[in-house]
Amino acid sequence: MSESLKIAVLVKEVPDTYGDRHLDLETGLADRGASDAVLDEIGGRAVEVAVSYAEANEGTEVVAVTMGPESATKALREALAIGADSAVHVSDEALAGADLGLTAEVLAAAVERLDVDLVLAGNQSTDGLGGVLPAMLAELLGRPHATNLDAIEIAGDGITGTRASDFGAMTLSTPLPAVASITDRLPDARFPSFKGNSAAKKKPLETLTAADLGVAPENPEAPRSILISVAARPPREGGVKITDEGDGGAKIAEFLDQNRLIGEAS
Amino acid sequence: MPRDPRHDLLFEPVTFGPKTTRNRFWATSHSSGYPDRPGTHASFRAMKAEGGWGVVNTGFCSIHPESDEYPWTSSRLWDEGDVVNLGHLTEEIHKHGGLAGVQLWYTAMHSPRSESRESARGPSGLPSNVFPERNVYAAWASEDDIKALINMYVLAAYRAEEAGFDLVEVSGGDTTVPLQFLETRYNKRDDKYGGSFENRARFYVELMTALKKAVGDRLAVTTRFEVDTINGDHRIKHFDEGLGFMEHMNKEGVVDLWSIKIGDYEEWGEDAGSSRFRKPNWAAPFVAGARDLGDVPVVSNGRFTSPDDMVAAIKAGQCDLIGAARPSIADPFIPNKISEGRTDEIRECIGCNMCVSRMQQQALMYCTQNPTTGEEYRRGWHPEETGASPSPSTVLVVGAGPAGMEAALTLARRGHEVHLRDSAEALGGHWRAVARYPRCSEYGRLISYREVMLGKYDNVSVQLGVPAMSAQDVLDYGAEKVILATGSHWSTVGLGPETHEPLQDVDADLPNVLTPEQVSAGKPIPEGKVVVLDGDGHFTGFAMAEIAADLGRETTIVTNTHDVFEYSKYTMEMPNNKRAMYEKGITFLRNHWAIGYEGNTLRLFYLYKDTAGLYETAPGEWGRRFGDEVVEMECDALILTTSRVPDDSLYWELTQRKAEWGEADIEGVYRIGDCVQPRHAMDAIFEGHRIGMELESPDPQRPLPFIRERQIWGAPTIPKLGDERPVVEGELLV
Repeated sequence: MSESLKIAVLVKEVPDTYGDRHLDLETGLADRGASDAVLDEIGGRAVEVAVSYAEANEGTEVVAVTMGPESATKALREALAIGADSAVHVSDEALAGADLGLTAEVLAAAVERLDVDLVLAGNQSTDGLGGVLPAMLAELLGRPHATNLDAIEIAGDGITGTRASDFGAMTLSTPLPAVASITDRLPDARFPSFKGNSAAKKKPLETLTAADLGVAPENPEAPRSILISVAARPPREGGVKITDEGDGGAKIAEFLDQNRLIGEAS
Repeated sequence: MPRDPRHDLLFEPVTFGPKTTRNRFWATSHSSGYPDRPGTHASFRAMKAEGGWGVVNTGFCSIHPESDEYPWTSSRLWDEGDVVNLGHLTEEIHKHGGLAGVQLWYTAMHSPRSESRESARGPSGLPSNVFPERNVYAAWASEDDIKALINMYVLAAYRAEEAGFDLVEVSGGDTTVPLQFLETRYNKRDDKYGGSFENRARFYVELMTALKKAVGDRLAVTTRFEVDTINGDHRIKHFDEGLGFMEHMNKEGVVDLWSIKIGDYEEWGEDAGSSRFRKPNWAAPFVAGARDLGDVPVVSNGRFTSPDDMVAAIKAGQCDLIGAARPSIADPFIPNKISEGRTDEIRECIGCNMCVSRMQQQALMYCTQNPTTGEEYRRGWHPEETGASPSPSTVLVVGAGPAGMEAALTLARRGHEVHLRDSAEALGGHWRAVARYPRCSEYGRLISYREVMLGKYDNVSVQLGVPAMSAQDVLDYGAEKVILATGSHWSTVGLGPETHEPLQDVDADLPNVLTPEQVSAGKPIPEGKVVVLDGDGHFTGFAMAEIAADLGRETTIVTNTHDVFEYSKYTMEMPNNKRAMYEKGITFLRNHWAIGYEGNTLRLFYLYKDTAGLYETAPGEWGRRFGDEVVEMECDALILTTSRVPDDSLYWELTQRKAEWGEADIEGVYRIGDCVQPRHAMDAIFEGHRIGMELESPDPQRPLPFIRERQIWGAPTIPKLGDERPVVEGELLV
């Protein structure tokens, strides 16, 4: 059964993995000036899943939701260019450096207002690599969750999906409303067309603060994780240089063997 | 980025004779086909000076009507008219700080003289082996004739000086007359100019001495010397008379600089070695030792595009200056790019010899990598500066092969918002497979250069691995302008240039019929006897034959043409193609074409099986008597390189829906490259560049006019009828 749904897709602005990425050693936050900020690829895939469903099911509405600095509008516009219908941007200086708990609280409040059937997200962001946010969100919303799906089928009344595990693939299903997250086994987001780009500029984009959502970032009662220290990655040590004196191949094989990178099949 | 200090060496000045060049980059003399078009020629050469080359040479330059290369176009220093035209050229080179050089050329027995109709003088009265079909000889030169020859050079050097050149380079390569005196294969004299090595060397030495006397205090006097003809006995060998001659000449102190080459005129493809046969700096072992013979600077060529290779050659003592002809065509800005630390932007020569092929067709020279070659003056193009579009638009380019990549890049450089889309996962279109053919790996530079450059522009989005676009997708895309570059494919039914009909029972769906795309994709070539049916004449059929032969298949090429892979005559690869085929046991059958293929029998016909005579075949009906003989050939697998077919369905679908373009806000749909008509990659890239440069024109599908250069009726001529020629006969002028 297919029918029109309202789907919220969580997206995130992240530093481009193709560029240099740096942590600010004072604050422990990503140095956003160090590289281009882009729409997280995994979030793009989630938008693609939602938009593909919407294309096949008239009346379906896709809302891209993000929490992030002012610049994150660009990532939302990209989600809109791919085909989301509207966007919600929670932007508040008090939320800078928010931990997973606070982030989940804010996003839950934002999604609650939208009254959606399905919340779709990537399994983990490229920069934070938390991987638990969709589950936390489901907990706060009081909805079932189906996370880390390699494949997903959305129907009008529920979703079915496959999750890879150490013991084989498991099939999950849950009625709606629910929260689901997908892996990078699902297809890349499409490239926005010129039409998508110009339409994105005209689509509704709502900007909210923490106060608008009734969330108190400084709540002393709330459990929060605290950053104690941050250190730069130690500089890379020089590698091993193999000089070819007619026996380069053998030397490389020996090196790989010593480092257990190759070996006889067991 | 600053220059890599390891490359500083390349930017040291070098002094030779009375001149000092700003760096070690020597743009070697090469022909172009441009000299009759003085604007085209000057702007082309001057671009190299602008790009940083310290010395910029023209092409071969005939010193006298007795050495008339027509129908090939050489420069000439025959009279004052040439001084005017070449004066413009040197002025343009000097504007950019380069030294201008001219190569003085007299080929004697190898000069076709199709314009001047004069007799040439040479060491011996022999027929030319370069043009055996043209019936050209030289006249035995008397000792007086030899003085006249030297005087011709002297007068040409004076004119070169008048035209503003900084150096005169005597061609002692390409088997010009100094070499004809030196080589025993051409020199059959028994006077003081023949016989012993010293005698055979005498003319060259006297010539350089005269030039040094005439202009040597003001101009550098240099020579381009063929140190090894790599053709066996009775020729010049570097380890024998090659280096021996340089040593001999150095003692006279009349050569300011040596520019060294290998190969002779008959096979100048060994000097302009193609990448299919010669790796960069292949001449190194032949040049070795030249630098140690004295303090005279040495220039060595070798299709150098990498600054590291250049530095290595200089540090190894191979040479003082890096000579380059083809790399300086593909990228006139190599020196500046190295100097500015922009080595990733070097548009590397791919060694395809399309430039050579243009010359061999007596046409204007163009370049696969650099579509602006020869267009600097007549279209106002510049290889590095495209200018900004006065009206940027959104452009969808469908297809990322040679034409599509170049169009997208040019449009991006001009400020358009471009989406380049292709269903393949990587750039390059069919050229990706080409670059994986045996011997063709350097061809991949065509793609890698554009890949690097496309990455430098934020206003172009390269979208690969996307679903193939339908007409509806294009209409829905929202682009103001659409450029289709959807390419072509090899005919799967053997459509070819001989009959223009599909072959009987031939279809590449069969396991024993293959196209190059299928071979590249891994379709197995059945064992046994393989026939490559070639109607293309370029390198693809050769690659297929070599792949089959390397798999152990007994391989034969069948072609309708008079020779096998005829285009390689123009790229100067024919002799080495034939040597490679001989080495690998690949045979060929010419002047035949296929009728059909069934079982393991390929049925062929001989093109000239019909009568030469015309007869009255029935009362009142005249014609040939047609033969119906069929040649049967055992064939276990047939590979078709017969012809290519445009992939143009998207274009026709969109043209049928032209009424919907307005609604979709599409201003125009254009097509470029092979989907218009299959062609050389060189021409596809040109078209991609052209539409990129002219997208704002009233009809971008059709080119804007270019400046033509020809004599406009009524202008005074030089010389006029009745003018006298300067006298060369008599005693030496210097």
